[in-house]
Amino acid sequence: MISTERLTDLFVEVADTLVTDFDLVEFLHKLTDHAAAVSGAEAVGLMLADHHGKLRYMAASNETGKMFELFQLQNSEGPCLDCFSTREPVVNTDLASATDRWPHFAPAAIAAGFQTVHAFPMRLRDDAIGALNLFGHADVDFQDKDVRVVQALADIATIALLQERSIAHSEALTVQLQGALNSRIVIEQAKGALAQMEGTTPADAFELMRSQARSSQRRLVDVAAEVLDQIADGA
Amino acid sequence: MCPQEQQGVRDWAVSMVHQQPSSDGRGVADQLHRLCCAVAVGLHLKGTAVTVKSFDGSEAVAAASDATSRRLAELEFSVGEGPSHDAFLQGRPVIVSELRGLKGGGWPGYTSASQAEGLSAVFAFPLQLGASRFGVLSLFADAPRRLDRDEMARCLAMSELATEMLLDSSASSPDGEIDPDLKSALSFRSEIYQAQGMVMAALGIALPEALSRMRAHAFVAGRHLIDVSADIVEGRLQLTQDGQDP
Repeated sequence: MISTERLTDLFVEVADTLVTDFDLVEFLHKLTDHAAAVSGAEAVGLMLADHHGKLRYMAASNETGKMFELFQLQNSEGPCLDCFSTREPVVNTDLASATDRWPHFAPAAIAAGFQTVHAFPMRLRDDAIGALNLFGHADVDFQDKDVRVVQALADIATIALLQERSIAHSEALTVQLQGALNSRIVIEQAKGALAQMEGTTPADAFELMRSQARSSQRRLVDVAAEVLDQIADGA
Repeated sequence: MCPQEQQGVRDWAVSMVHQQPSSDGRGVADQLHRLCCAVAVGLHLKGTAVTVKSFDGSEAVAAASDATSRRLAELEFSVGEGPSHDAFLQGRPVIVSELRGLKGGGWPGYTSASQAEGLSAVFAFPLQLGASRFGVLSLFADAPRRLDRDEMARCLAMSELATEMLLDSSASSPDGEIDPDLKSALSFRSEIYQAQGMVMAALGIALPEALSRMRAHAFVAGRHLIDVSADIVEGRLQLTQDGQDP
């Protein structure tokens, strides 16, 4: 089920990205895109834990993925949260039979056209620092080798966090997480502000900033901060 | 860490601040002073300070646990470099477990001057909410020091509390007193920050003011901030210039 060709592209891109000073937020977004492409999932989302041990939204392959990450946070239930607290993957869960387990999440996901859901922990030693969530139709059924590949993608996300600066000590991971989580807030603030100015949706505003970052080879968070500065100055 | 412990980090921070004596019992400066003392006591440090900065370069020590810490924080202004400077610019904590022998730190002036004051380790936590940056909480130790995961979590909980104090003091309320029993005003949800950006752009106000307007609206309407934020993002609610929101 996993496409080997796409997987090759992915690893080449990951290797290219992780060697230099890279854009962590954009990287995690791309990783969710890749996870969707290789697995055939309709939507993929990624969440990271803060220092309270609570998950926060970090990246998604599309708006649906984002919506269902937020939905899980809002209702304090769902595969990502289970996977994070048990540190074990949640694989091939049939949503129709999961309404007891997730009374809010399962019906909402079914209503959105999904049949199965998977979640993979981002593990570091004995800890979970986040989780990767995949939503799909019935034909997206993972075999053992698929599970290993998608878990490897979750592990790459962890490595990316550790990689951005050399992680010699335990404090450094917290430093990275804090930086990433705050970057996410900057980006959300800029999405809202830009959407308001341009009369567009936050999702479109996000794509606008993303393509600006790409074309000018700057980090997404820097483009977002500049957008906010310009709007503040114009105000 | 089990969930109970994690939930407890904020409670720990609030209760530690409460236990510290108050000088006059009012105002953000007094709150920050108590917070500085709480961090120093709670994490067995030499001292702590909160520096308030703005991007235009103005900076001031808003509170310190003791005179030496105030001097150490002020030292960064005079040499124009150091960990709190970097933490503010980079938007993430800066950890220096041992100043002695620090290689390529990029702070030659700060390193020698602070060591002359007896400093051995320093930790700087930015006080920020996305693009709104208020200042830095600096922790000073007189011996080389590591922070374990729980200690890092405690420092971050204290930083969050200090951020809320500064956020509330920047709001229009002249009282500026936060209710320490209140659940955290900051629930770190994407919708809140998108709405904050929208209100900022729509009303032509600063980000912190946009958030305090949203919180005020939620309070008056007896609703949760997250629901008010969702309404703003979905276009169901527009906050108005005069504060008389429909």
